[in-house]
Amino acid sequence: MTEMQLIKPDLTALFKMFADGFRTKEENGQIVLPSQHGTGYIRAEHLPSGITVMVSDTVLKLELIVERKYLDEHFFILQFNEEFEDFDSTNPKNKKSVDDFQSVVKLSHTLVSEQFVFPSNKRLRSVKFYFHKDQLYSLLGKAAVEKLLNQFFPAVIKNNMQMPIATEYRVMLDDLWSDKIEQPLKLNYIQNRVLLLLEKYICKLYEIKDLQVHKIKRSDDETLRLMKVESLLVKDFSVDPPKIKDLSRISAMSPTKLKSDFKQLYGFPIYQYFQKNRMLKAKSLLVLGKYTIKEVGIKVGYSNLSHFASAFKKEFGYLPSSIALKDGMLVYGS
Amino acid sequence: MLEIDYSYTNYADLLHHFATAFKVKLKDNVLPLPENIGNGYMKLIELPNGLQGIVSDYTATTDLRFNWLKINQDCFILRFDEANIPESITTENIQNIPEAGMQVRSAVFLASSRYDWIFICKKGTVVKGVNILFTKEWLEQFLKVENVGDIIRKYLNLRLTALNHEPMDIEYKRLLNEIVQVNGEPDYETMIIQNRVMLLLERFFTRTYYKMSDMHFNVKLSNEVISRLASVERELIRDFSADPKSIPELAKMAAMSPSKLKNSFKEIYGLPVYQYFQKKRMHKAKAMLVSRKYSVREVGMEVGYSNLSNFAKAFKKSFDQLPSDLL
Repeated sequence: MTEMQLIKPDLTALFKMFADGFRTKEENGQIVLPSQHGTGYIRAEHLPSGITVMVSDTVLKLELIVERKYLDEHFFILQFNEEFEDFDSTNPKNKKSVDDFQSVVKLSHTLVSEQFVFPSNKRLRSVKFYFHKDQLYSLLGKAAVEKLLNQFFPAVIKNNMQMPIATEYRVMLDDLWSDKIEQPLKLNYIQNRVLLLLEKYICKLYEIKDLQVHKIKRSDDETLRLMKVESLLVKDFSVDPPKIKDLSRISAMSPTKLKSDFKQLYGFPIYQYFQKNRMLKAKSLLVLGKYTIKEVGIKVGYSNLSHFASAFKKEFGYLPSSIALKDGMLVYGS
Repeated sequence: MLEIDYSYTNYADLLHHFATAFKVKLKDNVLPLPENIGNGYMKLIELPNGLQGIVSDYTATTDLRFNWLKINQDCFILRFDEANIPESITTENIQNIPEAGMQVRSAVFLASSRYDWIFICKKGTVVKGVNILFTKEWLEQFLKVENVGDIIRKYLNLRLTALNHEPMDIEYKRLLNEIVQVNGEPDYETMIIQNRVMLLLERFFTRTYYKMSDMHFNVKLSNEVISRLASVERELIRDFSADPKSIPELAKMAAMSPSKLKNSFKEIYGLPVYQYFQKKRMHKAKAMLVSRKYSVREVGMEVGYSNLSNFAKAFKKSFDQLPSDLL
């Protein structure tokens, strides 16, 4: 086990400690873990708005614990963590990977001490960022910021409320977790995605009407099992989704309970959730401009192109082909 | 037909100007359009990060023409406009009209306050748009944190003779729609709008950068050389009714040898000197034609063609349609 101490609310400082600790050099704000310590990468940026963010996807050989003591400065940290057994799809004996799946969104603050744990021999994907109330003021009106600072955030922190990573966060997280960020406007690119994550989180808090009484009846264990179900659903769109009866067995819940609890937690019935994510995936592939519509269709499990087109249209209101649509000009210089 | 001239570097003032011109009152930064102008509204947005914008969503009930008059002050306006034109207006080719019976013309463009430009929309057009106004300082702040910021700034200084546009793809449209149709808790509406405005900016400048790389934009030229080239460019497109200056004359102006001028001009503007001249000339002709104020003959004369059929041929070469198709 390795331990580190973080003494300021700055993830770029933590990043430097990692680079030193693993005796490796940063390159373009990123370090790649040397093989004696594990595999994966860690990156961090100081964004123009003052937010510091760390994005990582790692499997460590030794557990690493970062201890952050109580600080006088009041910062918040929002974390998106996805932890799963380090499995290699070519190795079938690691099938139980789904049994150890966790994906949570978590808000905390610097007035109490905290630990960040990077587990050993497990894959952890994480996006975390520190922000300050000034950053909220440059995003929201005064009334909304006060509501967040005085009601919503304290309620979440007090109840230690953790939410699952649901669809609305996926697109941004996927962008941030991609192997390499090669955008010319890199900082703005990262910042916009971080702010969108924050936006979705804030909207979510507004949706949950009464945070005080929002103690879910479900046990933590049940929530965990539902997260497993979710991860299975969105894992691979090129094959048929698992059947309800399989999911029900995996989650050790009755089909009825599974269906209703899933909907309560993720906001959609199981297969609608699957379909929605599948179409989002298709769209993000199309926007890349690298694949043909046919290739994208196959990647998300449609061998029949016209079925794909109509499913796509049903979700977004337009056809896959219109993603590439070029229009004429409307405005002319004189 | 309603025609409005304006040049405001503050959108609150601009909206007041429109309110006076339309003879209606502003309500909470929303300008409801009167029936004789359009059905819908224009709305001022003031973002916590210091940007101002105008969101438009209306159907024009008369022909509208907005003229930006150039000023001697540096501001940028990034416009996203989506216009759906009912088929009754463009009936020539019904087969080609998209399913909804509407023809869509949309564009993204970055305009500078130092040049004139026009926005035209015909009676019956459904307009959805977001205009974002920012100062030169704001843009510098925005770009300075990025590694490629300097290059983009150099490029903009040079290319932004009038405007820089590109077609609006579905991703732009999605963001545009999310801004126009924002419906959430009023508490966090500005956050939703601001995040999407920033995404629009990110996307626009990212694409600008890629376009630039495609053109092998040479940043090794000194600022001094770039500014001399910019003055050559201005001279070249100043007046299309006269013959363009010869290469030796231009070279003299720029204090360069003719071959250096030709090479560096092409590197920066992407086209050889006279091809560039021709392209700009045809765009000017097109802008005049769509304004529907001039006949084909007048436009031809204005851009230096005394022979109409030569004009028509050149126009067709550029746009694959005849000047008369636009009238």
